[in-house]
Amino acid sequence: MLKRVHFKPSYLPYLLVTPQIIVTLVFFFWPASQALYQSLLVEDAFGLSSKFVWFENFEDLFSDDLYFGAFKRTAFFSFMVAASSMSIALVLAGMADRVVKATLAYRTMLIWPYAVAPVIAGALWLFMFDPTLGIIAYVLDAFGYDWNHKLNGGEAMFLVIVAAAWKQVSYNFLFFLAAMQSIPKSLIEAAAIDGAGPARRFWTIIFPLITPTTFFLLVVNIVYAFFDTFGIIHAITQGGPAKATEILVYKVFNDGFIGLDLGGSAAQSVILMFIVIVITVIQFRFIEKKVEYQ
Amino acid sequence: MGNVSIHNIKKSYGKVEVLHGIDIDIADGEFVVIVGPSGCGKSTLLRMVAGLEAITSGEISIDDRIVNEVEPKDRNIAMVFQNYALYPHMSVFDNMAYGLKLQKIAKAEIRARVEEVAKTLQLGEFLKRKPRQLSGGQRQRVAMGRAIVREPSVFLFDEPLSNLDAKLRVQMRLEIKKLQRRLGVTSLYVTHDQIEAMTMADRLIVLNDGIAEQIGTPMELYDEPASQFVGGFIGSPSMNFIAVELKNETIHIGNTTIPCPDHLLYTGPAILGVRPENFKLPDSGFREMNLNIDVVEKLGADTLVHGKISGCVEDIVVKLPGNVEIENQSALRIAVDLSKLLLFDPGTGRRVGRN
Repeated sequence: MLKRVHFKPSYLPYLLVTPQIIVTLVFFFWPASQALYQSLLVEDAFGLSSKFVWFENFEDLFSDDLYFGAFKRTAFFSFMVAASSMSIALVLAGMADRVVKATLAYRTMLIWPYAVAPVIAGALWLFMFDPTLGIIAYVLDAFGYDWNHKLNGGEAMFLVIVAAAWKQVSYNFLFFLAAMQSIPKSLIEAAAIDGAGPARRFWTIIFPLITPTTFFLLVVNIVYAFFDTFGIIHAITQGGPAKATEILVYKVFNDGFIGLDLGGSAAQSVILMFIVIVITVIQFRFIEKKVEYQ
Repeated sequence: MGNVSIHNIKKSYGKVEVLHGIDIDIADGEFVVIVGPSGCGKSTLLRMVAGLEAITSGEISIDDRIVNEVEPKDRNIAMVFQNYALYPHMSVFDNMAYGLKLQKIAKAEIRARVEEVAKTLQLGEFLKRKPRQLSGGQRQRVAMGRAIVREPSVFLFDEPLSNLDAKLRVQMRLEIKKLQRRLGVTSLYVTHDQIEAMTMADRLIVLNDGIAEQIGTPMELYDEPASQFVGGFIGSPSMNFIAVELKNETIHIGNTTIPCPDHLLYTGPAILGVRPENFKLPDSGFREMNLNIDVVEKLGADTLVHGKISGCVEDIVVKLPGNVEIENQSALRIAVDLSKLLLFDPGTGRRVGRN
């Protein structure tokens, strides 16, 4: 009989994983549990005392039209960000895949926006579209369009979508390009001989073969639009005008730290937490298994 | 109609020229094999005919039409790739129908044509499967079917059998050959396997370092190789080469001297080429020499004796019948068929001394 490999009991393995466990506990589990606890409390107007109210905060939220407005806004915002950044990235990757000369320079430059911090990205677009200083606002004015995202909610939404999508294009581009380059060249050549032009090859061969990547990016982009766009919105519109760009994650901040409704804000973040869990489960359970690939 | 004419074709990547001017006219229905070691430019030549590589200079015409600037899809060709290049997300049927759909052929006709081809290739029951559910040999057939169903004027094969195991390769080799005979479609076939080349080709192009060393029928190349390279590449076990000296109508091989046969006219140092099967056990009409034996391989039908002719440094192989008895001998008297001797220039490797 084979002897089982046996190690002497030792504290070393536990010691080695301790830092990771501490980080997870302190920065993830503790805040999450605090949020859960907070969501069951109501503070008085001066923040001097709090009262345990069970699910009253959640009941308030679900009967609040403003909250549903933010929900719909977030859905629209993340759909637009995911769709526009992914389609632009797809076109760029499709073209970069065919580039023969100076490939590396071209790709490196396309990756740069990803390195820009959200707030800086927001500030960048804010300057370009500023109604009084911005160069694009100036150009639009020359065409007779009076751009003012500080007054027009639709324009404000457009601007935050553009800024958020712009930053995510690089990330999507990298993944799309990697996926395209993993398709054997001979498949494309076979299709070319079979009579398919570049556009036809793209839609009948390349696009179906990169579906796993497309699904993965869809999830990543939705998560990004839901949570990582706070900095952009904070820099450009602060959720305004008149809450036109107030998405869920911004509303958490606004209600909690500006409105000082800590309980309501915590309840919102618990709901967001729940959404992330659902998306992650979908990602792991369904998409990673169901997508067909060779 | 499916004649292909390749005229002074050159290919450079940057400053490096990989094909140095290839010329060949391929008649309608001919099976031409391009053979050569890896890196000789054989696939590049094929891909230029397919239109997948730009032509640096020269002219390629298919069906009497110059196709240098014609897109692959308009060249009326079909290609079978080494890795088959089947579309992994499509069923076997869709793989085969892909090209036909793009030609906007009626659905009923596509179905009829695909099913007919599938039947001849014994793929009928696999039409609904995806490529990954097929074995290597079946994928190979699907790739063939995809080419056949389009009824092109030229088939291009890029090492189509190299991903199969040895047994299947022999079988598919035969099937491709039979199929080509029956369809009568001009074929250009690239391989590095000289047996594949010999058995399948009507004519062979032996490519070496971007130069066509020789073009001819398999037997022409076997009996009359134009260079040492062709002599060594075609035939298995390969031709023996021995440095010799010719003077006064004799050939000095090591410390043996044999008379120079009438078909060789040459004086000075040369490389003597002798095929392993042109050695015999001593008999009348042959000239004998001493062979120091290294290894004896018994293959059943044949016996391969590896050794050196006394006074020579080159390892040679001698092919004798399977029933010869060589028992723990260190040397053997062998004779050589003088009428089959070939001479090559030691510097250029070209054939010399042809009378």
